[in-house]
Amino acid sequence: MRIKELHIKHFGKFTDTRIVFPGQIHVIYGENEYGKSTIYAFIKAMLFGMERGRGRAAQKDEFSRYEPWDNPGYYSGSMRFTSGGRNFYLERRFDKSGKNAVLFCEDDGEEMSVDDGDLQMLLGGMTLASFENTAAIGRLSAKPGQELAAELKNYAANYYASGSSELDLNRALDILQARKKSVEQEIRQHWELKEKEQDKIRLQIQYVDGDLKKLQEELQTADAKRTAAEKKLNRIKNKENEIKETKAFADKKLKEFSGRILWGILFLFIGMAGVGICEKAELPAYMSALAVFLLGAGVVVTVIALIALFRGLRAWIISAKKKRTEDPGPEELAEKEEDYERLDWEYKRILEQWRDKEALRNNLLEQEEDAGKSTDAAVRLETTRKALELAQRQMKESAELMTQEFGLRLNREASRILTEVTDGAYTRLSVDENLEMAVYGQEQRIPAERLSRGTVEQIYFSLRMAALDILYDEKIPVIFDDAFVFYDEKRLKSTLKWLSSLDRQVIIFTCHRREEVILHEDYIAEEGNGDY
Amino acid sequence: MKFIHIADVHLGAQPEAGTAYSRQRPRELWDTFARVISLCEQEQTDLLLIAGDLFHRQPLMKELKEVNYLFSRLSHTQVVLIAGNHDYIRRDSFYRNFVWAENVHPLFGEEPEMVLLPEFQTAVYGFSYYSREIREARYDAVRAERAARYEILLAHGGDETHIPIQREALRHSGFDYVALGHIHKSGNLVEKKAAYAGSLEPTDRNDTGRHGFVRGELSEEGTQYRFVPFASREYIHQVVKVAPDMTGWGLKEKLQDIMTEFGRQNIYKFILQGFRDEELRFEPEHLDSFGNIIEIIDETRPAYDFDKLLELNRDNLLGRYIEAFDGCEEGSVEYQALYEGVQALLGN
Repeated sequence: MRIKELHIKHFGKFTDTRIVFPGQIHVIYGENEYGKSTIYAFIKAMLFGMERGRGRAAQKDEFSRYEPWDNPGYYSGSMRFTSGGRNFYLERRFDKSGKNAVLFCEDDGEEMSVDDGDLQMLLGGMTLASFENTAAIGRLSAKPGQELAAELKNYAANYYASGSSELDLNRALDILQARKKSVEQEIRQHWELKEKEQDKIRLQIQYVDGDLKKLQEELQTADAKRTAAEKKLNRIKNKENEIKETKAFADKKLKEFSGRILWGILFLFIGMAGVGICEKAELPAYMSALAVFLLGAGVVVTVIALIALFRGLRAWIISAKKKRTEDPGPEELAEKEEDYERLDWEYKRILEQWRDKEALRNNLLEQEEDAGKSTDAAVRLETTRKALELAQRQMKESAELMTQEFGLRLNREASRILTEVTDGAYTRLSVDENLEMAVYGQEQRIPAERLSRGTVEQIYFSLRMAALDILYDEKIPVIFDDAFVFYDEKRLKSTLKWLSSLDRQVIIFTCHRREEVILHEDYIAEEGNGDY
Repeated sequence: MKFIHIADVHLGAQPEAGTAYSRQRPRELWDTFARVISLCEQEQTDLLLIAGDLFHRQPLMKELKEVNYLFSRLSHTQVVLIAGNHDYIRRDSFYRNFVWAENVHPLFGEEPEMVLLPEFQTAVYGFSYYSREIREARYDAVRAERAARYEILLAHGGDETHIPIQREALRHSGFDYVALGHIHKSGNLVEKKAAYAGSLEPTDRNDTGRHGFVRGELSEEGTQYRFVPFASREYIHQVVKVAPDMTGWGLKEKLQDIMTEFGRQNIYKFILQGFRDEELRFEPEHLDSFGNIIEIIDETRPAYDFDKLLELNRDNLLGRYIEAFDGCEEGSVEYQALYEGVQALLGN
């Protein structure tokens, strides 16, 4: 971009003044109070507009400072410039009532809009703040301080975006952070849902536990009932057995009697007959002894048989009596048996229910455990979360790397410029991100504080020019407003020589004749001819 | 000898089946099982083989009674079953003391045992799980004893923690047919010799494909069998290509069309792929028209041309960021990070 002509209609002390910039390097000389700073301010106002401050601050702002004294209604001016090989006409009105701007291309008459950012595009995206920190070097060069450090950091930050003005590291990181939060929220919801599912199963388990407790009680009751019935049944069975046994005993004894009594009577009869015969027939003595023995045996057997008869009869009487008085009878037995079977069945039924519930409970416990296991969806969400974290990390790392690269490149460029303006006295300039600066002369590091004011300004000059070059592709004119006061003759010469070698427009405002003289000596400058 | 071979019925499971079908799904597992038994009766199948995991967890007594009732109605079919890793014979398992109908022959021993069915000249071998896992390759040593004309092995497992199975061992085991269970997808393990019936009904969201049973016959001509689809529903994972001009409604209709074509009774998981409008976000709830979609995985990406982006942004953060992920594999975490980062840098 090159400024071709300024037309100051009403601005500060100037009225209807034209200044033409036909060439590459221009020196505008004027004594103090001449209006150099006003022209400088006018250029800035044309390029970036001029906002009127508010309240008390407005009393001292640029707007008030350059508001025309006599005719505030015509606070305006215009500018002709070239950019990208095309000629443009820019006109602005600054006055309070009718602030506006007109921009068009003089080659094809295309109308453009300053409000829509067409001018900013022509300026390569440069803002007023950037302009003042790089291309426009004022009378009082910025001291080494936080303001410039912040500016440079900002440059470094902007550096990411070179090539595409839409990239914004912090916004991108914010978007990733928001995405991560929403994914984490989803992960939480996922597990909450699982927790709910588990809670549902736990509730079921509670119900089952209740049922189990109830069944346990029922089981105990049923067991008690069953046992009681069993006892009753057993008692009846015992009675029955007792009677049966007595009866059997009686039968056995009577059978014994009936088996033996015949033998007894037979022996008695034969014995008595034998004794009678022996007495009458006088048979030998052994015969009568045999007869007596038989008689005796008959007596014994008969007595035994009678005893059995007696015991059998007694037992029979007892059993008959018991049967009459104590026997519950087959009906009651059947009834008790049925009772017992029913209660036993009931007990078993409840036991089975209880075991079934117990198995169900175990199954539910397993189900609860299964419900808590991770799913594909959870794994996927977790992967996304990891990807987002990786994206955040990588983006910061890439940005960090670029900042470092920016720093290196800035140092390299600034060193090259410093070498030229100091004529090789300092060949290396190093600036860290906190703007601690040092130069290297004869392989020795010298902190900036220990250098002369002039050298410090030259360091700043180098830094600004390097930054301007790196940051903006558009070749914005550089403007110096009494910037070389502290430069000695030699350094000024080198600086001007370097400036004249640039392929960008240079405008120097000065209250000294030195610049003009040097440039004239070398025939490298066209004098700005103020048409006033 | 005609047989039907089922496995992994997983009675008692509660498979995820979308809002429309999840409630009735446990019932459907029973219904399909009952249908198989009716089919056995109808076809007068000689042998019903159940290769484990008839139940999803420990069977309840009332469930065993239900199953036994269904078996008991079979006038001709003999049933042989084993317990798998899901319904393994635990200390307190009802399997231990259950009294089965006469035509049911459980092989519930921990060691291989055999049931002889002289009327079909068939012997069925097998054993059951007594724990959730068995890591020994216990089938490798099982051999047919030539106790009958036709010999069948009923087996469950085939992965690392559930009795690893060597194909070769099975091939030379001497069985005419090995009825396998545990793997839910049906298929041959050894050609004409050993097959997985697959789960009768799909019971997990990843049990895709057709499910049913194996119907076969052992005869003088040898072993013949084929898979018969029988399940009432199917899990379908369908990749849907999304174009940048597709809207939310457009996608909804596209999914409806797909589900109508493949059957609304089926349960769907959709994987959206391709490139979508950068502004468009899909809402899964909105897309579930019939209540049978269990998941929609959005793998769509904004339509970026990375080569071009890189070329245009070689010296700035975007370019550096893209370069940092150079050569990352599609589908990897890095790949996803690349998309997320670029999307964020471009301000979407």
